[in-house]
Amino acid sequence: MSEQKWTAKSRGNPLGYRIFIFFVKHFGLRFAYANLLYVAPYFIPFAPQATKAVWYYYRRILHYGVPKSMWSVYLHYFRFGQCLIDKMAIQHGLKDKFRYTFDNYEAFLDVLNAGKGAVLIGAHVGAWQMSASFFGNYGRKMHVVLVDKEYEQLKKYVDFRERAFHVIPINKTDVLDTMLTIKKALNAGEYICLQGDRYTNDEHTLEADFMGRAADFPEGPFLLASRLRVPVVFFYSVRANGGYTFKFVIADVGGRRCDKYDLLAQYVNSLEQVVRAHPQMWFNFYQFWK
Amino acid sequence: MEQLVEQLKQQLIDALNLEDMAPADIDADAPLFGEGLGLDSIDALEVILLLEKKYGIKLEDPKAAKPHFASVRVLAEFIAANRTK
Repeated sequence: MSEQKWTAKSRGNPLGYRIFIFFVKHFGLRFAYANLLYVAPYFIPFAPQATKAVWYYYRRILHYGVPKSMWSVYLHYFRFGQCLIDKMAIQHGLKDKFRYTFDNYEAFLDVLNAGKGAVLIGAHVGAWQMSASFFGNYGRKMHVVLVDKEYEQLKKYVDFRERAFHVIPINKTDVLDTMLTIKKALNAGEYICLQGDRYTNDEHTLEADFMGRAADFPEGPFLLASRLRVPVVFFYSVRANGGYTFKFVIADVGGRRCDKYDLLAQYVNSLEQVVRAHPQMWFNFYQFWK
Repeated sequence: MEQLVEQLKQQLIDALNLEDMAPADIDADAPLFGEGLGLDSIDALEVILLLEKKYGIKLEDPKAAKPHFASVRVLAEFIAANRTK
C-alpha cells in the first residue's frame, strides 16, 4: 500500500470555510459540531483513499475488530472536523471556549528561556495551531517551517496580521534561502518548528518501527536538529474532554553526540505514546506505513 | 586561490558524502544549487555548517549571503575575504 503518499493537498474550499465560520460565530461551537454528524459520513465514501488509510490504521495498526473499526473511522472524521472548527474558533476570538492543560510546560519554558535557540518537532496529531494563542512574546521568536501548500491552508486559521509567529515557507526552488533563514534564526537564539511525520522528498527519509510496523519519516527535521546542536523539544497538541492538552517532551541531546537516528528514535517513542493514548487524533490521511 | 578552490572541493565531497566524485569532477564555476552540482536543502545545511566550522564564518543575512554560493570559486573567494580561522 506504499503507492499512496501525502500529496500536500487538503480538502475544503473557501465557501465551506465561510459556512463553518458563520456557524461558529452565530450559533456557537456545539451547533457547528452538530453539522459534523452528517458531514463526517460524507467523507467515508467520497474520500476513498483517506478512508482506506484510516481503516488500515484501525484494523492493521491498532488491531481493532470490524465493528469497532467502522465506528472509529466515522469518529475519526468527526474528531478531525472538530479540530478544524476549533482552529477557526480561536481565530475568531473564541479562545476562552476551551479548557487547556499543559504537560511539562515549565521544562519547555526553561528551554525557550535558555537563549540557545531550539528546534521544536511536532506531528500531525490533534491541532498544533491551537497553541499559537499561547505563544505570546515567544511568538516573535517562533519560526514555523511549512511547505507552500500547508502555508496557504494555515492562512485560513491563523491571522498573520496578529503576528502570532513567523513562517518559513519551504521553497523547493531556493533551498539555500530556506536553510540560511533557519540558521539565522537559530544563531539569534530563536526557535524553529517543524513537523516530524511528513516528507515531500522520497530521497531523504529514515525508516523506523512505529506502532509495530515500519514507516518512513522525513530525514530533514532530525538531521537539522542533530547537526545544529541546539535543544530539541517534541510537542503535541491533542483534543481531549472538550479541551486541549499540550504535551512537551524534551529530547536528550546532551553528553554524547546525538545523531539523527537517535533523535528519530526518541521522537517515534514519544509520538507512539501520544497516538496510543489518543488514537482518534492521528491526522495523517494517507498510507503512512510500509 | 586555486589551492583554496581545490581544498573546498574536497571538503564539499567529504561533507556531502559525494563518494563517487573526485575534486576534478567538480566544475569550480558551475552553480552549486539548481543546475550544476544540484545540491538540495540538506546539502545546503551541510555547506553552511562547513563554513562555520572550517572557516569561522557565520552568515547573518540570508539575502546578502546567497550570491556567495553561486559556485565553488565564488564561495572560495568569499571564504578568503571573510575567514576567521
